[in-house]
Amino acid sequence: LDYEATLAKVSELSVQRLADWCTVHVSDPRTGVRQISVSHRDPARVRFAKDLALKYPYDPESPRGVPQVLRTGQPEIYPHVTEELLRAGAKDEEHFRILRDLGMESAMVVPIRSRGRTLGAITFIATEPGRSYGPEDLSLGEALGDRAGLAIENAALYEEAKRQLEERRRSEAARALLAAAVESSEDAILTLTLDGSITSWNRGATRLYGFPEGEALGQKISIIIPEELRSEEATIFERVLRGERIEHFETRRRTKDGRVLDVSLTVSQICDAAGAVIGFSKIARDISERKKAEDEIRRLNATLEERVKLRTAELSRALSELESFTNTIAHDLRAPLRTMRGFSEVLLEGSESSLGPEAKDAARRIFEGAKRMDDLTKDLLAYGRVAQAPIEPEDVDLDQVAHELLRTFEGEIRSSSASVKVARPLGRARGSRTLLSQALGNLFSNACKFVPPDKHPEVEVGSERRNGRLRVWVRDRGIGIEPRYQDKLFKMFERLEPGKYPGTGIGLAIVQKAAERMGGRAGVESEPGTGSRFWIEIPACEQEA
Amino acid sequence: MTSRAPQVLMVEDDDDFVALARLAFRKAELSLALTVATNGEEAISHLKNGATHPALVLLDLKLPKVSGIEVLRWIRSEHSAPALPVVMLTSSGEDGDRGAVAELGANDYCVKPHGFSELVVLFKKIAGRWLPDAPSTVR
Repeated sequence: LDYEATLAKVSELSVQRLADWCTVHVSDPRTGVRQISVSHRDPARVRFAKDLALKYPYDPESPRGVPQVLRTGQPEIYPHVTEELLRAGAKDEEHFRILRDLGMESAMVVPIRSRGRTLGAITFIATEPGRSYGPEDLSLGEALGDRAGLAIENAALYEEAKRQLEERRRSEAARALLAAAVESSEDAILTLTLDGSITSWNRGATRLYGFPEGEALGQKISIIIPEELRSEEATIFERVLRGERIEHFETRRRTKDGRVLDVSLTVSQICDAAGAVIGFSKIARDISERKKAEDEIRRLNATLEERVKLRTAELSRALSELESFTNTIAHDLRAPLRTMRGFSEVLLEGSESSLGPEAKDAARRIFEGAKRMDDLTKDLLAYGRVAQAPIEPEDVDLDQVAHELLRTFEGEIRSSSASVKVARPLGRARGSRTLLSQALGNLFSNACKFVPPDKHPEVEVGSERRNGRLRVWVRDRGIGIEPRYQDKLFKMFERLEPGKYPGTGIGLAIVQKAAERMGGRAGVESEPGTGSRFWIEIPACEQEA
Repeated sequence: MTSRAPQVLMVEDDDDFVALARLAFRKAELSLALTVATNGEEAISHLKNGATHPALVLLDLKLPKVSGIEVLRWIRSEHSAPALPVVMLTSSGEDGDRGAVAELGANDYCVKPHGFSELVVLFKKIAGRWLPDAPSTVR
């Protein structure tokens, strides 16, 4: 520390004027008592003195010398240092010898004092034979001690002043930073006294409310509160006073020029050092834009609903138009086909016909064409029904569906001499009875149809459960399908052998669509020459799954 | 002979079908006195003014002016012979139509078949049921 240099100087001066030997001790509340300086008229002896201090450290219990002066604050003087005195102060025999060899003649210890407190002590020792300290020496020593106290005090004062200065500088920097942050904030930040007078007003507040700082300070906060919201403001203050913190409270404020803004408020107490509430701080954010956007979204939502309603009405109108169009096709398109077919059949009837073979062939072609177009129309209508019909899932007993199927196809089974096996029970599925009948009917009809000319159809109907779903299959021993064509088969109008086998190419598309509409799928496993197994897989009944 | 042939009123706007039906009746060897009305209004006026006293009405559903359903309703509620057998003969297979005419008291509901031979079979069946006294042209 700085005062230590001053004390060393005191000690140096003393060994020139007052003593042969001088030491300075300082009592520091943090480090205890330290010997901060040792001087000797003979500089060679300084080291010896320092070593001695290390070997026999400071003993605070000692009833004499520095410890005693530090305790009492009173100086000690020993005009003659006697052997008895040395022996009493020595720790052991060796210590005594060393002290004796120092050749002390006279000694005095004075306190270093400042404002009534003892901060340290200065020890003066004379070794010059015959030298003896008297009252004059003592007052000189005491004056030096006081001077030293002053030096320590000044140093402490200086340190304190420096520390305070630094602290103030730091807190001012922090305050400036905070003020800059408040000032540059986009939000309006202001403080109020308990009775609602404005005590600070940042630039954001000026920007938001239109009042310059000078106009706002000292005014009541009510200058920016719309009439109808005065009681709300009072409630906010009450809540804050109870210790609540109001955050993102959405309300309205009035600007200087009378506009009303939507704002979000955060309000909290301001307390003094003792914890007493002395005011409020308010942060307000302009949310007018956000509010506007929200209103816009609400408005759009409302009109969207309206538009969806309109569009739905349009769609259902279009759908019913389409349905009536479909019926028209069924009725009006098929009627002329029936005519072509019927009359060409009349022409072909053996007994009625007087046609030659060429004309008969022509009539046959008209008949076939009409029949084919009629089948196509019929299947397209069926596809339309399957694709569009509303579905209400029900539990369908597949055994019953199969039973009805066999009745429907009675004629075909008989005429093709088909053998049919149904592996009962087929189980119950969750779907539409109509769609299931249609799909299984198509599969069954195919199984009877796609058979080599020299064979009778062998058809087997069965089912298996797969992870809560029911797969119903129709197996034939027919012509089979090459794997590369198997996917194509379910597409509309795909036919593998149009010349050889009848069909419109719509039947399997209907099967696939029916399965999809019931939340399922359709597929085939097949090998050319050995037959095919077509299946549809749809959800099983809950009790079945 | 024709005077003893039972009268049948066919209400049908498709004259192709009428011609085919005539051929089918012949093929089925049914001797009938066929009167044709090409719309519902005409059918009702025939029945009203006694131009015909049919033993059976073959009634199409979709007709110009007055529909088949209207004709059926008129027969059941206003005709002097409300129990006159009426067989609907239509190209529509819609379940809705089927139910509606059943409620109004149609005696049968047949979908026009698409082949000539099927039509012959159908007419034989209808005649067998509703015209048991129809003499066959062939003895």
